[in-house]
Amino acid sequence: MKFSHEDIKEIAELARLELSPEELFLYGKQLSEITDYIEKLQSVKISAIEKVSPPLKNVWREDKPEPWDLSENEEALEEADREAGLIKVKRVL
Amino acid sequence: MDLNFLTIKAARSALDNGEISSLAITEACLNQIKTKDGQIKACLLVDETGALKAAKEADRRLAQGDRSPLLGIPYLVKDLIMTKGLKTTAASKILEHYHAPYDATVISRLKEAGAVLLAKTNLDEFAHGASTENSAFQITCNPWDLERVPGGSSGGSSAALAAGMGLFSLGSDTGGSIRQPASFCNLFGFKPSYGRVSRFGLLSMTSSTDVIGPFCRSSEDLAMVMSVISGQDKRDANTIQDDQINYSSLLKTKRLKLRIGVVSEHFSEALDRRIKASLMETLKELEKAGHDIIEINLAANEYSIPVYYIITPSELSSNLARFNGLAWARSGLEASDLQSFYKKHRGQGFGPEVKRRIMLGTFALSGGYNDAYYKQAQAVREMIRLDYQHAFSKVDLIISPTTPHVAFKIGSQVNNPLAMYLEDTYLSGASLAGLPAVSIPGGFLLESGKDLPFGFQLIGPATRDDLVLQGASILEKINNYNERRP
Repeated sequence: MKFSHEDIKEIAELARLELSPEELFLYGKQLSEITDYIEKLQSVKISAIEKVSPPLKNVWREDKPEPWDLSENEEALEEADREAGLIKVKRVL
Repeated sequence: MDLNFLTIKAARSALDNGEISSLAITEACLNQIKTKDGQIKACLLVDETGALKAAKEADRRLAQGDRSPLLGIPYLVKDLIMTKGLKTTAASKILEHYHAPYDATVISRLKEAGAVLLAKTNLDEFAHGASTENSAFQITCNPWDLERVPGGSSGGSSAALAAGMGLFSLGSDTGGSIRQPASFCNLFGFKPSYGRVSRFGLLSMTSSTDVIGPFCRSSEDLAMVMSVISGQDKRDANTIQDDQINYSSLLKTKRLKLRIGVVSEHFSEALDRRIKASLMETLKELEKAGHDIIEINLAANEYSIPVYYIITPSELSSNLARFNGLAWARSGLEASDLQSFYKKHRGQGFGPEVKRRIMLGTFALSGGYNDAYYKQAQAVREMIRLDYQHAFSKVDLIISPTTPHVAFKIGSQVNNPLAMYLEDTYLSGASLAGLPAVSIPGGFLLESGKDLPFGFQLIGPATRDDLVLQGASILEKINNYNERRP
């Protein structure tokens, strides 16, 4: 599959990745090669597939609150830039 | 007696008899790291203080009569697994200064069992790779030939164990990342069934195939580690809801007669003729030992790699979306607004292979392509799963080479991502179907004047980790290559 410069830029935008012009060019080329290889999957005919259930079951627990050690919360958030208990981020708009 | 090259079983016996102390073994391993790691570069972080403390605690427990299987046994762990208070970097700049706020379940279990954590080992960044060359920090060398890769993505764990830096190590396997390094480093590398070992605390890559597993020097050692790290965990809803299994006692089951499947599709031109010849020899030995060798087909096998390379980037692109530089692993980058901040932080923090895979995954999941790529891949994945299920109605285990060749030279595949993806020829099938698999030492061949190891892989039916370990034990009796040292 051939990726145009615009296609690659749009994918990088969706992925929230800032790429240099060299990276944009290189990834465009490499993504084209990789998707060409992957394309062989398009020709596989998917007929009615017998479902194979993996050996896993849904696991449930009671939806009730449990006491929690708040120092754990503090440890998890200690790197964040906080104000009034909320995490500060850059301007959104 | 080189304490740092003992099997867990031998160390256990000596510890329980009071012949040696955990401190002695731990010090021998730490010394080996000091002596050899400048060259091999397997370790990203060595916790000498913590290790000595744990060893002394283990000796105290031993003196009180505690005889747990892994008590006092030193090990290393891939730096993709959370270890509370220690840096956990995924070998990525984006986590360069990140300290894990909690222990992964496997680490908690090992701590409780009294095992001694020595160090965090190198890997391909976020487990993206098959050579450990994608680490943002350093390149690890294969102890059997320093100019070659140890394999990947768990190359630090395999190199460290092969070089005598511990008595076992932990890696993760998403598409071969334990088995392939085991093959390149002459080790036993076990990929448990999906859900057999809790993923809580493993930095996620491909959520539907990720597993944590051990590198060891023998099949009995694998069983000893698996008995401790496996088991249901309420923190990982995907864990198989079985009672705790003692794999060591299962290994002692009466002599089995196995039906072992050989896959015709596996023997292509790409397989090194010497590895093929060695496998043929091993099959003859297995027949002599009373087992049946049966030829089987895995018709959908040719699709494993393309399926894997759609599903993997798709899932990881979603899993890596959490790296936004805000609440943890905080970024100090300046940016005018939030979007620019994200793009800069991620663009600079992630390495090239990671970005390439995020791009591929984002594309495969995007509107207009999702059906053709991701959904199609998941449908073909079911065909692959079904293939294996049918095969296991005819055979008990499947045998194959682990890798089509021995370890390649550092730098030789770095510019060719597709060639790197083809490393997974024998490996991705078991990952996609969630099956247990092991690589065991299969032999050596001479290349550039050095004896280089290669492994054989056994794959078992879903949840039959015990059967795969038994198969490994049987194969181990035929070859004793694991006794060699670099």
